[in-house]
Amino acid sequence: MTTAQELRDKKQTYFDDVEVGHQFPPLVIGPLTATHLFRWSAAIENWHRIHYDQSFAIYHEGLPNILGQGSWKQSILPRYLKDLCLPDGWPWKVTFQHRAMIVPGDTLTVWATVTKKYEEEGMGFLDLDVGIRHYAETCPGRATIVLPIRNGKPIPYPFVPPKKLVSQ
Amino acid sequence: MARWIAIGRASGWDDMNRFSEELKATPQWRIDPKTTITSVYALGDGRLIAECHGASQADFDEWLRKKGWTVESVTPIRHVAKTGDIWKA
Repeated sequence: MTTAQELRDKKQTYFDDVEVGHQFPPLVIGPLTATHLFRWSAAIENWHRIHYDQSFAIYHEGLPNILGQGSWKQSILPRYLKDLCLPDGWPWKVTFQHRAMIVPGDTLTVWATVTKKYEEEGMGFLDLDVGIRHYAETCPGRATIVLPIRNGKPIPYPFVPPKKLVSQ
Repeated sequence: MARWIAIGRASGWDDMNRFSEELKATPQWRIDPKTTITSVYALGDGRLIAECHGASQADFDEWLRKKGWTVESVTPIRHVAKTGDIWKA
């Protein structure tokens, strides 16, 4: 588990530090419990019974157990990418699919591998393959993050993507 | 989704550590996307009860075989009461 203090103290990963094929350190979450799921349901006011009522999930919906929320999964990959970029990079974009159900007992591994690196307007761009893996690959997808180049210009905040990349 | 109850025996499952080892991890009870072992009871007389829901009893039979059960019976479930909630199986 990464602590808030570790994130505050995190040293910058520079564009220069990674090459195509680089695997970022994974984030491991779990094993998930019903408490994790209920906490998320409460936070976002999602009261669907498949997320907290085990008998309903199994006997009415025919599900294996109560289910982890899709919105929770959607929050994990941006969080992971944000942590990779801290303190001065920027997680620009991510897209992924929902391919498998997550249930209590699952331990999730969030991962990212560099597939392409390029510079634009003095900033370093990394295209990534990303995903959330448990016993299946749950959320395969792609992302682009922006890292500063060592001794280069800072990544602007708010981040404005180069026009050349937006029009692609 | 059909449901079945199996009654049988399996060596060592009266021990809590072995029982946990056999059942705790998700892949141990989620046989495939459509087949789930929803409950297992270890009875005081050494017998075991397992409940499964899935598309095919054959998948449940295979799980029991892989787990080393000596099966007394596998029976379809008609309906279920769970702490006051009644469900049609």
